[in-house]
Amino acid sequence: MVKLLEARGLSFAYPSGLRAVDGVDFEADRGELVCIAGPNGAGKSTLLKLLAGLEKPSAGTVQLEGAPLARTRAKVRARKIALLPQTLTALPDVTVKRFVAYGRYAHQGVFTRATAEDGRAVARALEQADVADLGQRLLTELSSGQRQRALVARALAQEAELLLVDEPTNALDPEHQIAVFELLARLSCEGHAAVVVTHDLNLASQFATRVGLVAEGRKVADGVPGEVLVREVLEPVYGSKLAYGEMAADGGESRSFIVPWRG
Amino acid sequence: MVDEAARPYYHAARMSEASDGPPRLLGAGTLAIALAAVLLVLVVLSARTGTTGSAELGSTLRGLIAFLGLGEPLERTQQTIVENRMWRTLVAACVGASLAYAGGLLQGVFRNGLASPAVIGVTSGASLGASIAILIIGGIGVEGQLLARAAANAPMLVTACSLVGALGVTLLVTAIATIGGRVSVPTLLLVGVAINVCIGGLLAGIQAWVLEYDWEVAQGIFAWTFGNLKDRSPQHAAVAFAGLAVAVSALPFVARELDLFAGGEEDAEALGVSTLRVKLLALGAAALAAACAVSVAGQIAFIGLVVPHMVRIVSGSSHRSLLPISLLAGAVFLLGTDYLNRLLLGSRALQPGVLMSIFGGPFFLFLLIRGRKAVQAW
Repeated sequence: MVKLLEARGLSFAYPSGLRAVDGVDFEADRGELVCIAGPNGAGKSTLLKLLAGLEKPSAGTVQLEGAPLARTRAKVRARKIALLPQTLTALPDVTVKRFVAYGRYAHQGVFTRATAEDGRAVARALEQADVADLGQRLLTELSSGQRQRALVARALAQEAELLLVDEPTNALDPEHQIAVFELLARLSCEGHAAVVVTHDLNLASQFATRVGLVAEGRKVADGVPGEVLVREVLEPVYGSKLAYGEMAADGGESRSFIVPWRG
Repeated sequence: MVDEAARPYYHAARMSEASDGPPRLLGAGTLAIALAAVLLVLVVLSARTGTTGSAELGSTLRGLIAFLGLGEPLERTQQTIVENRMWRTLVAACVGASLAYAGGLLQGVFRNGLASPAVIGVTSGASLGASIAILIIGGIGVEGQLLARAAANAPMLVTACSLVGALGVTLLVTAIATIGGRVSVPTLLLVGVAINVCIGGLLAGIQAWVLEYDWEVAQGIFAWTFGNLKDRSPQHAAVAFAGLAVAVSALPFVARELDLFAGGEEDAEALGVSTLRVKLLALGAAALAAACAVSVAGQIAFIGLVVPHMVRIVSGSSHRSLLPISLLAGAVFLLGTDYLNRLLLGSRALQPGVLMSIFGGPFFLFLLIRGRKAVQAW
């Protein structure tokens, strides 16, 4: 069976020659929530852009359902892949509802107006991302956490099977951090694929079906959280200033937790 | 068919055009209708009023109906006067509409409210083309050829040369800013500034040289740089209208897309916008509209900058309303000022470029001062 997203030998170099991503193989399929972790400057966000088709790899290929992503039309790609950026710059007088409706662009024709299906998708997305009550508010009036949720809602309105998410919990309080990951986990259970770049190893430990660890542009580990989020794998990448523990989770199994510790 | 269960959402979707945006001073539809009505009134007033006085409203209306081919013409001289005023009126309306529309498009592409047709080299290119044409017409190097005679015979040469100059320089700017098949917007801005400086130097050189060589030709070049709506011919109106019509046909393919540009090109691309196509279409449409406008009426500053701003303040920044309303507002703005200019100053009417600078300059300052407070980032 063809994977939803499959990248082989993916590399990306900046004009200066700096290799941000170096020969990475990566795949994600329906039902998966894959977290990509790694230190600052490891190439995580660049990798995400390559997987989204927003950057052209200097080597390697990305296949979306077996077809080369580079040759997929922008609208077709956006119906399959939704990218949640970390932040957006300077948006003028746009309400949350209109912003979320932007996610429907790929579903609309040149001369068609918003259809009933567009309306339903926007309403659903507002609800799921917990911003339904902010619909008429201006984006500039929102707190950074609310903006983050508006971004989540817009990606949901896109109704893409694959969600590529860049550090979604940075600006969120603990409750909303959990809520975002619960939402992503639920979506992956319902048949979506989610690829999440995150620094939060504990959320990855609790929610990810798979964790990819990236350092200096290369993938250094890829497996279930129990295999990757352990001292032997993490210490060469993050150094020794981490403390490791275990906590009981649902179903009697335990999940590791990792906290920065000055030692 | 809409199934029953979906009805509330269906209703919500239908209503969304009106209810999604923040509250506005005026709805886009109301504003568009109001501007269209003002434009119609201005057309009649402009056809009635010349630099030497106003005609009777009744005879003007009969002349206008005859102009449209729907009735008996007036007495020959009077009909000619009405028709000449109509060409001026149509040129003013099309030029104002084109410049404002081009400004709206460019501000969307650059995601910067201070962009205008001058930024991509349209204006300096047109000036260069027009200056060269005036030099040729002025018979630089040919004895006995006077500007007045040549200009009367060949106004279309000035238009053609400035059109070629405007489009040529815009193409050059865009080509230099294109790297590996991608048009870099910040590079475009910088290249535009650099090319404008180069051409500005060249123009200053030409003007300094010609001032010594031939006073009349120098006067012609200077006059062109302040814009001109006098003695416009049907050909001028045709060039301005054609440029505008072609440019407007790009609207359905760029308006919604430019709204998505607000969050950055990469974000728009991720939402499914083919950003290269949108940039090329918007730049091409803006360049064509502005080039045709500048080539028939000379340099008229500030409309491209100021009108989209005013529209944005009144009816919001969505390009689906901003662009068509800017079009109408630009026509009203230039035709309105030209009409008042003729009405109040008569034969001493100022050139439109001078007038726009007098009004546009302070407004530009106001925008800058207002912008200082309104800078928001997230």
